[in-house]
Amino acid sequence: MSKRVEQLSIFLENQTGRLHEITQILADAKVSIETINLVEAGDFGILRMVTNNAANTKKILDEKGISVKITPVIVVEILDKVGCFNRVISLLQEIDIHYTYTVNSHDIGAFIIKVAETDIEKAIGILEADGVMVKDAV
Amino acid sequence: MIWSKAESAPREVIEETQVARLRETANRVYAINPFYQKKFDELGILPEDIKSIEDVKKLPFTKKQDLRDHYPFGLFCVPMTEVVRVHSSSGTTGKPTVVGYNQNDMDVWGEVMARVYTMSGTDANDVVHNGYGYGLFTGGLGFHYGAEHVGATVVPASGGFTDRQLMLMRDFGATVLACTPSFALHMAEVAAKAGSDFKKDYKLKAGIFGAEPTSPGLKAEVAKAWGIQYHEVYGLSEIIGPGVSCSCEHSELLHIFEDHFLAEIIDPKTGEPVPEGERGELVITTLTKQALPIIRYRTGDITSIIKEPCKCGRTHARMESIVGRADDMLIVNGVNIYPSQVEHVIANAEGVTLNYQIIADKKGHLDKLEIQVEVSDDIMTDSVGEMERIKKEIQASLLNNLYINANVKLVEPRTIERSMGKAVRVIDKRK
Repeated sequence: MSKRVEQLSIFLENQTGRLHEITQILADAKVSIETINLVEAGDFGILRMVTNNAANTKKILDEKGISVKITPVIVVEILDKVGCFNRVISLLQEIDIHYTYTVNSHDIGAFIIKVAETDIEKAIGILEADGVMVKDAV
Repeated sequence: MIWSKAESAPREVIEETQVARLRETANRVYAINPFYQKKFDELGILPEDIKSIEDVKKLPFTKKQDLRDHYPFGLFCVPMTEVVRVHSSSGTTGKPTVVGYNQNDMDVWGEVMARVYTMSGTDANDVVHNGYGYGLFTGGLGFHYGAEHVGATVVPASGGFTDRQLMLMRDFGATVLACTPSFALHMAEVAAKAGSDFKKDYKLKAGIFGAEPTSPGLKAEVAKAWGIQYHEVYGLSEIIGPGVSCSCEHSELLHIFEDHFLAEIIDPKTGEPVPEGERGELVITTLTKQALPIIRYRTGDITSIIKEPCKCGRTHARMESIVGRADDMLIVNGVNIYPSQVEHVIANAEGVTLNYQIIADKKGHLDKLEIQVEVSDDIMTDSVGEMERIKKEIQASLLNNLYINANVKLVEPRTIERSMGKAVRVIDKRK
């Protein structure tokens, strides 16, 4: 089972109602959004998501003329305890982390780590060797 | 080689010839055509008022609309019995513009096209493959008769049927290619499918390209793809067709055949002449045409002219390759900008497409410029930093090349409005 989770990124203009257009399309198509993260940079932003089926979500958005880029990321699960996040990050000290954000979940803490594609297998290896729960791709 | 002695005449001789011929042309149109008579009278000018070359400024402009208003033959200055040929524009945006030639005009056209061919080194030893469209368009027949005039063998291939054209070029041993630069590039791409050493099957040494706006990048690409010398030709049917000017082997500037065409550069907004070497709208007066002489025709094309003699020995003034259209010119905080210049910068940037829009607006008393560019589908990156870098690079390039401070806004693919399939390039909110 691959540990590379496919994250979708969408380039968005900073425009009232634009985010809603996307979420409406996804809701209408019964896509389940597992994580969502919106980064804004002046007049544009990047919307990042993990859904229940990346390829299908991309297809749905492509049909609506929305360009989507798929990037592999790592999803790490941790206990909701002080120091757990720090432990994971400290394991990856040698690797350039591009960004990280949390995944909402009822019972367990989880977050996304984005590293360079060339580093991804190495990062997964380091984490798993230390017993960190790296989630399988769906 | 230079075809005619007139091309290397001293400046005084060129101007003497121009003044005499300008007066003759003014006399002719004033005496024969009510349209010109009325325009001259409105300005209170008579043909005999033309005493020096500067006096051309006193004459009225002629615009494309004037030709349309007098469709089809209203501006002709010879009886139809004398007209031996007509050509016409396609007229996709209204009535077509129709132009006519008598035998004298056909000879003039043959003469200037012979100069074009000679500039490219073409003579009786050459086989000219003519890929310009034959028909109402002046390109095909203009290049055809010019090649015959220098004694070359002409292959009247016309447009289309790329594979067959390539076969003819190989089998007939074409040495000179005449067609649009985009078709030349397309043919090279198709020819290259035969293998990277495809050029050994062809004998091409020069190409004479024109009839469409061409960026320096495209020219270099065509020259490299075929491994040939690139000659650019300029012309327009209202003046004669191809053969108004052409570039020699020494520079990218185009020699204007000044004994037949009087060229001026004016400020398109005021109609006043600009200093030598500065860019503005090209205005041409025909000096030897009889069926359809034209006084101060507003070409709408933006270029500049220098009179400095060329290394090739020609003294005829040279113009730049067309940089844009006067209709599209924008003045932003005193700087003239043409969309083609912006397009050139965008074409050299990574991560974006050529779909862009220039939006001019006011901020207080100052003009501000925003350039929206669609990001490309394939480079759509997941990194904010990367997108910021692309944006900053375009901004820096606009500043370095065009001296303008513009805000570049990256927009989503396929979001810039297109009207009738064609993108609207400029939105001026200051008007």
